[in-house]
Amino acid sequence: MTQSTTMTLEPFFCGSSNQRLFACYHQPAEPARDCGVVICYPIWQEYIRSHRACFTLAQNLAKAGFPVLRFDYAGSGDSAGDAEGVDLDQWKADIVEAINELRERAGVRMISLVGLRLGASLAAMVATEYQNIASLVLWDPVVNGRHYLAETTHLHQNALRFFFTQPKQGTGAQRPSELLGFPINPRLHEGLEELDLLTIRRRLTRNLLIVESHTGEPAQQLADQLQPFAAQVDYQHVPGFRIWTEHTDKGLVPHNVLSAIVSWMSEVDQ
Amino acid sequence: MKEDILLCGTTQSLVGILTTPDAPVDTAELPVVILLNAGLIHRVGPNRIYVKIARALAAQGVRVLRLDLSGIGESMPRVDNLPFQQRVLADVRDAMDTLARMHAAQRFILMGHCAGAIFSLLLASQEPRVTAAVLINPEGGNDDWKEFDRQRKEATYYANFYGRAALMNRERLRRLLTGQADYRTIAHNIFKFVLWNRLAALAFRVRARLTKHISAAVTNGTDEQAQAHAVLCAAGERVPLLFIHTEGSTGYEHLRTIAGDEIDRLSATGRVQIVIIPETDHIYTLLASQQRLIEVIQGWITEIMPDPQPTENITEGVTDIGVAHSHESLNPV
Repeated sequence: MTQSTTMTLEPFFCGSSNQRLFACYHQPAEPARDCGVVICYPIWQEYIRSHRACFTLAQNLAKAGFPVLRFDYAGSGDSAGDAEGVDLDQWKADIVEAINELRERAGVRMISLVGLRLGASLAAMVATEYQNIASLVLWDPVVNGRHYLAETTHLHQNALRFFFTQPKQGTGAQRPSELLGFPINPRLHEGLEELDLLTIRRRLTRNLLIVESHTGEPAQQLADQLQPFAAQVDYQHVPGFRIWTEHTDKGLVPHNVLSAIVSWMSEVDQ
Repeated sequence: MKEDILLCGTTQSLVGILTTPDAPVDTAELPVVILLNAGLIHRVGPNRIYVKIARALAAQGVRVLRLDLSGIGESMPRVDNLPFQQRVLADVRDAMDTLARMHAAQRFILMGHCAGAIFSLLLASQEPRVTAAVLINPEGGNDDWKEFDRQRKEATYYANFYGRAALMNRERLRRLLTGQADYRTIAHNIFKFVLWNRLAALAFRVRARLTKHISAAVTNGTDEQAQAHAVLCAAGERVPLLFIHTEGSTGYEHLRTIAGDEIDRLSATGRVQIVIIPETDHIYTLLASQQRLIEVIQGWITEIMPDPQPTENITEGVTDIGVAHSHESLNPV
């Protein structure tokens, strides 16, 4: 494939006037593929820490000929709304909105989803409902919401230990009202507690890739579990940084993980 | 409140989000706030604080541009091969030119967290269109200062880990009292990470003060001090400055160490205000501290605006915040 070096990036707002989502369209290098890719970010602090990696992934996919759309969920990033009022259903609806936007903008017949952390979990849930996703990449997915909440709560408590003066409030509550700089409402908390990708029992997609860059989440187990729900299920362990917990000033981009994803997608989404 | 994408620069390769109030503003008179990246974090800022600040200021009638400098966020790298610092200054000037051309903006208030604060100060010292600057947790200093900061944070972390929090935890307390704790590791960690780091930090403080006095007497200051003095004086003489620090921050200690006299002098003239926000960290992790930060900024901006806009969100002042220096009202921009 001859690839042009002229690629353009187009930031824009989409969605209804009272719930506008910020999105970025990465125009594909020629010849463009007939499959667009929507990138589903993680949430909260993990979104901020992995923004650069997702940007680079989008650029690399566009270089490989995929029209790509990145977008911020409602109440996140540059999108409208406060983080106080969001929940998983809203974010799933945002992914569907992004899919429709990309279809219209790029004129593609097929759509694939690539999600990181909770973005992967949301993408998987959308795939079970949407039933028309060509390929699905789950990059270090949050398999179990309870574990995710516990891990984030632990990181939050750890962060408080670095305060030179200890805060008086924010301890002892059964359900945290905030985690690592972001509010968490009871609806979102409940949704996360119920999240368990191992309970998926519906067809997901034609091609599924689970990429695990660190151990800790039962990604291999998830790959085994999802075998019946996709024509092709691949699992790759690609050692890399936990970019979503690393210090923001490092701006880490795990190029080996991104290469693995782009290679796989280029192969399955011809 | 309205948010639009603004592409800046001659090649439109700098991406920003312009937040504008619903009500029309006096475009020529009212300055536009430009928020500069906090290190490598894209224009939403740490914990999305920049978005909150922009929306809060728009609610009181102020336009705010959250700008991605070249190579950060969605902005493409520049192609003119300028050195880093000049590149940043050129990016901000490009954004000002675009705002002047497209939105008739003539004056600007620069605002930024951490590295964004440093660049805001630098521009405030030399760019005629900048009429004020808000400097949130500026950090600075050489590698010794960075090591000093690391030692203090590490000591604080372990002191908190083994301190009150541990004693309040029933399970940990039980293990400690029943011989089931790893006493050797605890002793090692307390000695190495708490005591040793605190001693090293104390030694650094003494050394920094001695060096300052000796070098000031012999050479009229080191290069770093001289540069900091010059930038701070130039900015402070030109425009009102608001320094916001979190309680105990190394950045504030650095500022006092290298330019304490100048800060005091400028504070006395009312050109500089310093506000300390308690019980938080460098990136304002707790929501309460984010709210306090926004209230402090809103209050100060109202004070310096030529024609303050009425708003319901402005606090009565900063009386609940520890104010390191109190002053008379600042002069209008």
